Amino acid sequence: MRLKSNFLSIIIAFVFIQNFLFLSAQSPVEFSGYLSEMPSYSWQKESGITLFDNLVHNRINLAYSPNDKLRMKMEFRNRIFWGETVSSTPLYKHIIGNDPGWMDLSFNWGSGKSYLVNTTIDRLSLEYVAGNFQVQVGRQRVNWSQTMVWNPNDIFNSYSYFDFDYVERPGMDGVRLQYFTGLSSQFETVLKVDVDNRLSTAALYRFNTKGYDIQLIAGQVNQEDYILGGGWSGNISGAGFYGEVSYLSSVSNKNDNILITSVGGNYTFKNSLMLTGEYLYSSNLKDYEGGFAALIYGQASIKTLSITEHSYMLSGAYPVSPLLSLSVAYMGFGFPVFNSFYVGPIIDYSISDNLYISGIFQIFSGEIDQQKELSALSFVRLKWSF
Amino acid sequence: MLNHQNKRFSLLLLICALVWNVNVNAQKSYDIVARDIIDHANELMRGNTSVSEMEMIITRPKWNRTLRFKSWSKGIDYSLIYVTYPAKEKGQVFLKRQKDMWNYMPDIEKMIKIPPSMMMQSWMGSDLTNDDLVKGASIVEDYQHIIIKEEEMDGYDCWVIELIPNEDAVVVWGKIICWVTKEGYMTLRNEYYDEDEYLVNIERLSKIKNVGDRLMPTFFEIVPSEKEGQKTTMEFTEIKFNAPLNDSFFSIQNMKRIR
Repeated sequence: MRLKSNFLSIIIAFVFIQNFLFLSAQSPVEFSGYLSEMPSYSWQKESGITLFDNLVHNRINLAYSPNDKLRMKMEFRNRIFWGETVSSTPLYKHIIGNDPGWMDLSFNWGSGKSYLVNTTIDRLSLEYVAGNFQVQVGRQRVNWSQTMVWNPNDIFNSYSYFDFDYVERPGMDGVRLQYFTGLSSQFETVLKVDVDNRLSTAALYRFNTKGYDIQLIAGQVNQEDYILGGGWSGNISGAGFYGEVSYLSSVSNKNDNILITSVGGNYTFKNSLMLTGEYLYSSNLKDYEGGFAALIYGQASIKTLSITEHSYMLSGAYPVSPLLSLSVAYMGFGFPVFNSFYVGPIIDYSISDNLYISGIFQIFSGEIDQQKELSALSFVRLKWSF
Repeated sequence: MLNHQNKRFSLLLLICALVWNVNVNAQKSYDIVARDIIDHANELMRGNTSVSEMEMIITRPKWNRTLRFKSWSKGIDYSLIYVTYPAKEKGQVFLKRQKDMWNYMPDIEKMIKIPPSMMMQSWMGSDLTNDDLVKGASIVEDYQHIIIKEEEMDGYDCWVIELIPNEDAVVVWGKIICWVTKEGYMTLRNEYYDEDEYLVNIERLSKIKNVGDRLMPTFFEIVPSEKEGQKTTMEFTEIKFNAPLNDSFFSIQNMKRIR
């Protein structure tokens, strides 16, 4: 099956590229992307491990719309990893080369003792629009999130807050049907197939009333859990107020139920300073034993959005000038005492219209299962968008 | 900070007048003729609908930044903005329908409902706030108008009209002076004063063009009076009035599909 899906994906990609090249002269073609260079340094106190790495990251977005009903989309990322993480992790190329989707679209082009070259296609889809009806087939991103940090409603591609260099997130393989019932309301159903041929199916209804966007979702995730949930986005006295609730009920064990909910808000002052706060409750994480590593590198599921039952986030973002912006986020894990925390300051500076340099720091500190942990990651990223 | 706000506000007036329709209610006015002139000048820059493309350049002594966008509007309730430049922001869409406003970011395929407080945030890192783009005080409704003199400006005979804000109006300015051509009701210059009658910004409008159904200025330059080397310019690279636009154009579905 894997072979078949791989073969199928290559055919789709081939047809797409051929069409793209052939028709690009006629122009209903869009092309964009970015190229970034990012050295990083990480340090772990207890083990004394330090790692120096470098990542060259290129993203290409291609779209072709021969008419206003049809749209083909292919987006991929090329990455060159180099450094001590690659050389000290024998399985690294398998981790990177492993595609969690039904189609295997992650290709390792080259690898050595301390480097790895990979291309991953994370969007490859065909969309057809007929009036209020839209169908999209292939690899795509279905983003049902309403909150900013933890997204219990984002059941198809959970978002890792810490993976700042990949905001697009992986796509899922499947079919999405959307029917727009009004100017700001829609009904949607999605079918997803993953690498193990597990199916997820869910429906969403979203509407707007009294200044609030409200959504309701129901379905089944990975043939493991039934899900019932909802989310909202609105405001209280001008401050953004949003939340998501998901209730999971295990298909096999009726007593194995999980409640995951996040609630947050933000307020922007007249000087453009924006403060954000968010809280996450995840009932299944009472006895969770994953540490920060699981938090940073894991998160394939809404079940592991955090490492503790209660999590909090506070952040501030301030544009010092149109060129320079600063932000810092603080997360506390645990209740009533924060046994663990994360602090992440970010500096963004615009060198020119299309060139940005950023400094990103991630500091994790805490006690997981009576084990103290302190680690720091720092990144400098030069990013050119085109 | 005041200057920053003032600059924003001048842009706000400009945007109101140009891109978005300004609500005009029949209301008692200080000087009917002067009000009528401002109303006409305002009317010139709007239509039932407008479709335009704009370029904004923010100039500072050591750098400048360019922003380009397409804009569609209908009445005062509906508007849609699609950012075309720079590459990092390209594809972002802002939709306003009555009091609701959304931002769609195609790279993360996420739609955000913009809360009122976020309306004060700088729009795309520019000198405009989200609010400037969609709301806006009315230069007709929120001010009282008097013709103070008549003089020639750029070769046109103009009325010079002083605008003093109504007491209850929530506006930044203490006074605005406008130069409006007697023929064609084109605004050629605005001077913005703070509450102490101190000149803060000078706005010049030029590049008068026939845009199809009307003659109007298509280039706007705002210069802070005390900040050397700073200015913000906006230019209509395309504008078309009264093209048919259905309400359904301003839908969530179209927000995600517009290009």
